[in-house]
Amino acid sequence: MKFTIDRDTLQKRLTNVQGAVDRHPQLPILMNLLVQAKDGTLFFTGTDLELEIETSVALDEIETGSVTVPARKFIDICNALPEQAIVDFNLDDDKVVVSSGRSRFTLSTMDSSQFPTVDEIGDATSFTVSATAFKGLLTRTRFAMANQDVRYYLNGMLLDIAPQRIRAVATDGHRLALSQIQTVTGVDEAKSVIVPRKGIGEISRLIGSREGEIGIRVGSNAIAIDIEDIRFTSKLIEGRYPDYGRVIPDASKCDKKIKVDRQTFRQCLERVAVLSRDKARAVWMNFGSGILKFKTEETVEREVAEDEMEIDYDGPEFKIGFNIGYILDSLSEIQDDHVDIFLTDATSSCLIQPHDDTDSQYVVMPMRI
Amino acid sequence: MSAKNEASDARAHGPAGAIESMAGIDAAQIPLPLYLPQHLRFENFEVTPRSVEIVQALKSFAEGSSPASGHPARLFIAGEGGSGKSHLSVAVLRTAGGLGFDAALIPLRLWMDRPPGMIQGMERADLICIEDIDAIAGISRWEESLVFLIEASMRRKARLLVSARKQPAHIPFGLADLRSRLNASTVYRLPALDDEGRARALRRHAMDRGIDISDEIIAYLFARYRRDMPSLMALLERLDRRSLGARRRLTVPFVRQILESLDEPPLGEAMDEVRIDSS
Amino acid sequence: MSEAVWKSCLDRLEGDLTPQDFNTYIGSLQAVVENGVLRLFAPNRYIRDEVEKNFVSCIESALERVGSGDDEGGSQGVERVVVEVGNPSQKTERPAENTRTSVQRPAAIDPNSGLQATFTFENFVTGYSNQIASAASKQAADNPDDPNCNILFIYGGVGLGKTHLMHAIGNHLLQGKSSEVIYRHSEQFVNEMVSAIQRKCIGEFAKFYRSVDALLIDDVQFFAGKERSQAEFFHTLNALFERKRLVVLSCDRYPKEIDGIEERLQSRFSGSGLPVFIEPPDREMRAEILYKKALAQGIDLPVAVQDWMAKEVHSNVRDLEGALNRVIATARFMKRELTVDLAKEALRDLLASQGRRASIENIQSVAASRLGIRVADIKSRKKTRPITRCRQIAMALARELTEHSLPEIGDAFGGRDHTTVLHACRKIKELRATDPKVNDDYRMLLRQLTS
Repeated sequence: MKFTIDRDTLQKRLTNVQGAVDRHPQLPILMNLLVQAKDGTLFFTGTDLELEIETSVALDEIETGSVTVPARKFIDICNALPEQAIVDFNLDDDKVVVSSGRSRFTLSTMDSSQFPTVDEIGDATSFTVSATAFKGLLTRTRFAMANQDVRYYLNGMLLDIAPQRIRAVATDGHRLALSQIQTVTGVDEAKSVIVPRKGIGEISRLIGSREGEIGIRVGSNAIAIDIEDIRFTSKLIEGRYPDYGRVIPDASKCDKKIKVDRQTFRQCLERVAVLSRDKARAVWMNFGSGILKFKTEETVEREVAEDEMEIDYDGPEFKIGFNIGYILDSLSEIQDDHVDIFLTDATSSCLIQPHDDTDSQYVVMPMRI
Repeated sequence: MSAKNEASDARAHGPAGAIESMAGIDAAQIPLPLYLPQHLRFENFEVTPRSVEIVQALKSFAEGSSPASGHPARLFIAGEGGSGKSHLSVAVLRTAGGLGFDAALIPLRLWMDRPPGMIQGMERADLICIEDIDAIAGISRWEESLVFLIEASMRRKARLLVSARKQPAHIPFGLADLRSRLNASTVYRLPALDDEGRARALRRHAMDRGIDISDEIIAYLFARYRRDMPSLMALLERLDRRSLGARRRLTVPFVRQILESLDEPPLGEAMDEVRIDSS
Repeated sequence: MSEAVWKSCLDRLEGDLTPQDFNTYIGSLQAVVENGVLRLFAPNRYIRDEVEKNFVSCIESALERVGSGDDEGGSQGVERVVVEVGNPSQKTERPAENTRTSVQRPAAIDPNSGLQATFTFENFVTGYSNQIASAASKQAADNPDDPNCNILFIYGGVGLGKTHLMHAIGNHLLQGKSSEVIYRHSEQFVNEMVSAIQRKCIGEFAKFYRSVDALLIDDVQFFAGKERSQAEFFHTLNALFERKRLVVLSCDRYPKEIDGIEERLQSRFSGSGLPVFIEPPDREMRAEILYKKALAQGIDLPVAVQDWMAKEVHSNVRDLEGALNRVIATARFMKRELTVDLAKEALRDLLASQGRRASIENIQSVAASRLGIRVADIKSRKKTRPITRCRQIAMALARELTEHSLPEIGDAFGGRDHTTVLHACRKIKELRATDPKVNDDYRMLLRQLTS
C-alpha cells in the first residue's frame, strides 16, 4: 500500500485518533494505529477495546491495502515534520517507510488482520443533534463523574434520551449534576445508557469548537457518534444507574430558598478556599438574616479564612458544611448572573440551579458537622 | 432575642469570631442517598439443595402451569426472617406480571394496623401473593377478611401464594377456618441459608451494588456480627454508604472501623428501622 | 392498543418504585385508556386513596417518559390520569362451570350459580363420622320438595367436608328438575346485598333470592354481628320455606351456639330445620379420603402410604389434602415413586413440631445431660477434660445451629472471649476427624437438637 498526503491533513487525523490509543494497553497491537486505504479513501483507526476512533480522508492517488504502525512514533514523526511538508507512506514487505523531503523513517508493523475492532453497533436508535448543544450538555455535567470508583456505573455519564430532549446525569456519590437540552430526537421511546468516563472526555475533545450537526446512534451495547469525518464508538457501561430522580430534592419542599449573586458567591468561596487545602476541603457556611458567612480552617496550623456576602434571606440562622470544591465545580458551569440555592437541613442535600431555570441542576451533599 | 437580632449583632462584630471555632470537627462527607432499584429474580436467588424443590414449585406456579399437571395452584411458604421469602415472592410476581397475568401483593406485616378493607376486591387478580400472614394472627377482622379472600380467589380460580415465618399449624390463628384453608394448600418450608449460602448471597448482593466483598471481610463479619440475612443486608447497606462517603474500598480494617462506630446512631440512614423490623 | 401504553408505563414504574410499592399498589390496578384519559381501577377505596396520594405523580412521569408527543407507540395523547374504584367495564367475568341462567338478575348479583362441578356424592368419602350428614344430604338432594325437610343444617369443625356436601347436593339437584340452584358463601351473600343497596336495587335482590329453586349458604356463622344481612336472610329463608324450596346451610357450630345471630334466625336454623353433625374422620376414613383424593389426580396411592399418612395427619380433610398435595408434588419433582420413605421426606419439615432453630441454652442443657456434665460446669472456669470437651462441643453446636455471633456465644458460655469459641469450633472439627467418640457425640447431639 502506498499514499501521499500533506502533513497538516495527516496531523489533524492522527490527533483525533490518538485519544483512543492507550499508553499501557492490554494487547501489544493496541499500541498501533490501523491504517487502511480502500476505494480512494484513507482510514485511521485507534482503539483501547472500550472505545474506537476512526477518521477518514479522501485521496486522489492511493494504493489499496492495510497495515498497523506504532501510533506514538507515527504521531511524533508527523508532529516533527515542517508544517507544509508532503508525506509519503509506503508499505514495503513488513516495514513502513515514512518519508518527507530528506527525512526518512522506517517503522515496524503488525498484521492488520490482528487489529481488534469494536463490534458493529447493531440495532440502534439514531438521531442528530447540534454539536455545540451536545457538547454543552457534557461540559455542564461531566465534572461530577466518579473516577475509578469500584461502583463501575459511577465512572460514566447517564444519557437519558427522550423524544423531545436529552438529559445528562453524572454523580460520584457525593454530588450530582444534571442538565438537559430540548431537541427533537424522534426516538420511539425513552432510552437510557451509561457512557464511560473516558468516552465522554473524548467526545468533548473531538467536537472541540466544531459547529453544525452530529449524528448519534445508540445501540444496546454501544454508542456511536459521527462528527464530520470522525466516527467515534464506545462500549456502554452495562447495568443499572441509580434512580437520580430520588436524589434531587423537590425545590418546592425545601423551606430555605436563597437567591445569590453568582460572581460574588464564587469569589467569596475562591478566597476562603485558599485555606481549605486539606483532603476534605471543608467550608462552613452560615446563613443569617441578610448575610452569608464563610469560614475555612487549615487544620495543622489552625489558620482561618473568613468572608461574607449580603444575601436575600430572612429565615432562621442556619449552618452547613460542604466540600468547597463541589460547590465551586457547580458554580463554574452556571453562566447566569444569579443562582438559586435550596436547602432543608444540615444533613440533607443542597440543590443549586441557575435562577429560574431548571434545565441544569446540581445537588451537593453536605459534610457532617 | 430573635434570630434576626442575633444575626445582626453578629454582623456588627465583623467576620472575625462570627462563626464558632471548627476545631475538632470530624468533617465527614455525607454520601448521596443513591438508590439502585433492586432486581429480585429467580435467577439471583441463592438456591441450595434444600430449596431447589420449592424454587421450582414457585416458578411453575408463577408461570401458571396447570394444576392438572401436578402444579398446585395454592402454595404456602414457611420460612424464618431472612430465608428469602420476600425475594421469592417478588420473583413470582415479576414472572407472572411479565407473562401478562394480573398479579398483586398483599404485605400483611405492613398492613396489619390498617383496615382489612384494603384487600377487598383483590381476588380479581390472576395471582395473589399474601405476605407475612402470621402478622395478623389473632386479629379477628383480618382473619375473617382473609378467609373470604381465599374463598373468593378459589371461586375465581386465582392462584394464591401465602407466606409466613411458620407453617399454618404453628401460627396462633383465632379462626380455625383460616388455618384449615391454609393447610389445604401445598406447604413448603424454606430453609434458612447456612454460612456458605449466606456468604454467597451477601457477595451477590454486594455485586449488585457494584461493590466487592472479599472472603476475608466475610470471614471477619461472620466471626463478629450477627449472621442472619436481614442483619447482614442492613449492614451491607451501611458498608456501602460508608465506603461511598469516604470514597474507600472495603477492606478488613475499614470494615472493623465501621463496625466499631455502629453504636452511634448513623446519620441520615433509615436502616435501623429495617433491622428492627426484620430481626 | 390502550393497554400497550399501560404496559410500557408498568415497565418504567417497576424501575422507579420499590418492589413492594410496585407489586402492592400498582400491581392491583387495572387500566383502560379512553379519550385521552388513563383510567385506573383500584380494587377498593383504600388502594385508590393510596395511589392518588402517593403514586399518581410517578405514573404521570412514567407516562411522559413512555413517549409524549409521539403519535405512534407513544403515550397516545394521554392527558390525564384518574383513579377510581371498580372494574374496567369491558373486562368480562370469567365464566364458571354450571352456568344456567333463567331469570334476569340484578347487576349486584353474580351471574354464576357458584357451584363447583368437582364436588359430587360419588367422590365424597363416607364413614362413621359423617354418615348421618351424608345420608341426610342425599335424601335432601333426591327429594328437594320433602315438606319435612326444607332446611338442612350441616355443622361441624373446619375442613370436614361440609362444603363438599353442599356442592354435591347442588350438582345433584341440577341434574333433576331444579334449574335455579344457587350456592353462596355467606360473605358473598352479604357483599351482594351491600352492593344491591348501593345500586338501589335491593328490591330486585330480595326478589331474586326468594325465587330460586334451591339455596345453599356456606358458613352462616359469618352472619354474626351483621344485622341488616340477618334480617334480609331471615326473610329470604321464610319466603323459600313458604314456597317449600330446599335450603342447605353450613356452620362451624350448633345453631344455638352462634353468638351475634338474632334468635329468630337461630330458631329458624334449628327449629324448622334438621341439624346434622359431621365429626372428624377416623383413621380408616382418613386413609380412604387420601386414596380418593389421590385418585382424583390420577394417582394410585399405595396402601402403606395411605396408612402412614392417616396416622400422622389427623386433624381434618383440608390438612390431609395439603399433606397429600405436598407428597405428590415432591414425588413429581424428584421423579420418584410414592413410598412411605418419600412421604416422610416430603412431610418431615411440616410434621416436625418445632422449627429446627435451637437456642444456646437448649444446646447447653441437651449437651450437658447427654454427656453427664452439669450446665453450671459448662459455664464455669473448670478445665477438666470432660467439662472442656463438653463445653467445646456445645460451642461448636451453637455456632452451627444458631445465628449468634462468636462474641455472643462466648458470652453465653460464662463470658468467654470470641477467640475461645473460634478455637473450640476448630478443635471439634479436628477431633471429629480423628476421634470417633467425639464425632459420635456430636452427631447424636446434632440429631437430637434438630429432630
